[in-house]
Amino acid sequence: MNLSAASWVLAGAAATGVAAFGSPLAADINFRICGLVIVAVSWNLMAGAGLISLGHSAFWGLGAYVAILSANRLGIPLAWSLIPAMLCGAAIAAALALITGRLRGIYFAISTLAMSEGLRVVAVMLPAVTGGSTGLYLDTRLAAGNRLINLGAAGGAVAAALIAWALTRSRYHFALRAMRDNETAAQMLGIEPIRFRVGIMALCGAMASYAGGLGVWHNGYLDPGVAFDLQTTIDAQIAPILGGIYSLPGPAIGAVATVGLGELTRLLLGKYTGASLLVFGILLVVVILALPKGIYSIIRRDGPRRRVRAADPVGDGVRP
Amino acid sequence: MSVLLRLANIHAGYGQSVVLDGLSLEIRPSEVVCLLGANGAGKTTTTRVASGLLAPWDGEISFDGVSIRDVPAHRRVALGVCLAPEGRQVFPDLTVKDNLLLGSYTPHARAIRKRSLDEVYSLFPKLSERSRQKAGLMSGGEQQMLAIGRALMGHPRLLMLDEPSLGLGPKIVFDVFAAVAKTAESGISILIVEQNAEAALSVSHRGYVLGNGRIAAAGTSAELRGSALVQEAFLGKKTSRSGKAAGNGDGSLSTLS
Repeated sequence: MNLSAASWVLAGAAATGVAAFGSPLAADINFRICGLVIVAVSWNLMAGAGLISLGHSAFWGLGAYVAILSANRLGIPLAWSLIPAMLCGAAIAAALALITGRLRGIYFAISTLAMSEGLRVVAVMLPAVTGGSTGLYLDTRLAAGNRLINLGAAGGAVAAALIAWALTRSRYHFALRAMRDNETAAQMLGIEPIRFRVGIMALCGAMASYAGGLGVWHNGYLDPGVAFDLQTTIDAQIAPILGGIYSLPGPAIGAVATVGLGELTRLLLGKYTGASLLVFGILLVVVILALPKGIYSIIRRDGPRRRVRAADPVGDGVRP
Repeated sequence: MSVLLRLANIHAGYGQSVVLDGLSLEIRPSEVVCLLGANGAGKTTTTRVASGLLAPWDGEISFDGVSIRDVPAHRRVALGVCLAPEGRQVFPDLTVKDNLLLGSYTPHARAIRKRSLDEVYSLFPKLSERSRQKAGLMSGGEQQMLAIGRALMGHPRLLMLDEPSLGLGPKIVFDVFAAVAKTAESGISILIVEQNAEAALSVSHRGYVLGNGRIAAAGTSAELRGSALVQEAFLGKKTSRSGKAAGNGDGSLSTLS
């Protein structure tokens, strides 16, 4: 086992360990990191295919609503409510992929932003279903134990990382990457862009919806503002950019750094109103300016590149 | 004689603007054909229609006797229609070898890619030397060779080259076209779309001249080379008619003629 695999296993074990046995404070921070890892990996996978999302809160919020509604209405427990949440997240992401067709770059990004805003408005305007702006409380009789929720987040983060890793090992990684670089050229190799778009977006939508579903079980409350919070969208992209966009460990490193930095500024400057957010923002700007390729670029020693090279662009196992 | 690719009465364009206005052309098996035309004549649009990147408004496209008008681009690649697009469009952050391997994406090409890779390397030894280098760090000529090599990795029956001489120095253009001539020996049909008539005619059997969205002249390469239209518009030679000159007749390729 090489160093990078060892650190992955260690990180996964640490997240699971803290989730199961950590103090409430540690477990709570761990939950936030793991939830962020899931949406950050999801955002990064889409970005890796050239699809820059400004609407990850749409997937998160939809997952949260489907989870809380299916739990309250059907009386099903945590784990079961996450399944319809993920299915709906995948479905709306796939639908968006089909609707946006060949839209790319800023045009695609705006359409995701619009979807998130649109869902928020719909949630406000359907009080019979969503409780409108008053919000919804999770049925207290169903409330799952904190440990289970925390383990769900840790397991989700590990699964998200594993999915991302499996993708980099497969030939789809090259097809997606070719799409990011140049969709026309990719088509000229026999790659069908729409298939990959629908596939990767459905996957990423399901991931972010899983995080949303867990989020609502963690908070016990949901309203349209919480569900489709712009902050979710921003965090989903700050973490991978801070950690190292397009890279495998970037989202995970970035999630730890974002939550850590946020906690640190809050602890040190919490008594001055607004100061902690200001400093957090300035720190983010400085780090991104100093390390445009993210924190991971400090520790990477050509390891990931070698791994990508070892993978096979069209993958039948025998690389010539 | 059978026809490999046939474009019949193609009308195509973008939005309101008509680019191809009744274009027809044919390419037979093992034939090297060039399509000459000035800037904006519709050369690239022709390759986009033939490769499936652009749906024509009207007209018929058939490949090996079967209509491919409604076949999407990625499936035409599987049929054997491969395009080395204008401006190379290699994947800059991938290595040369990975770029080439990506060219064998379709199942059919994948099965024989090891052989294809050897063939491309022997055709373009430079690519073999640079196989582990990032494609974006190579010179324009090398990138053009890579673009052609990548298209060849798809095991084409028809290879379309869109302006392979674009932005290249005369010496490199010579190398690229020498490789094209060598590729043709293996029996692949090739359509070269070019402004550089001198270079294109030097390797092709026949040629078409595109003007106002349709074929303005056609003939064997020798005939075209001798025609007043081509001489004036592309080869920079004044004839007795001394009409308007268009195109890029820089005549810088004397080594090729």
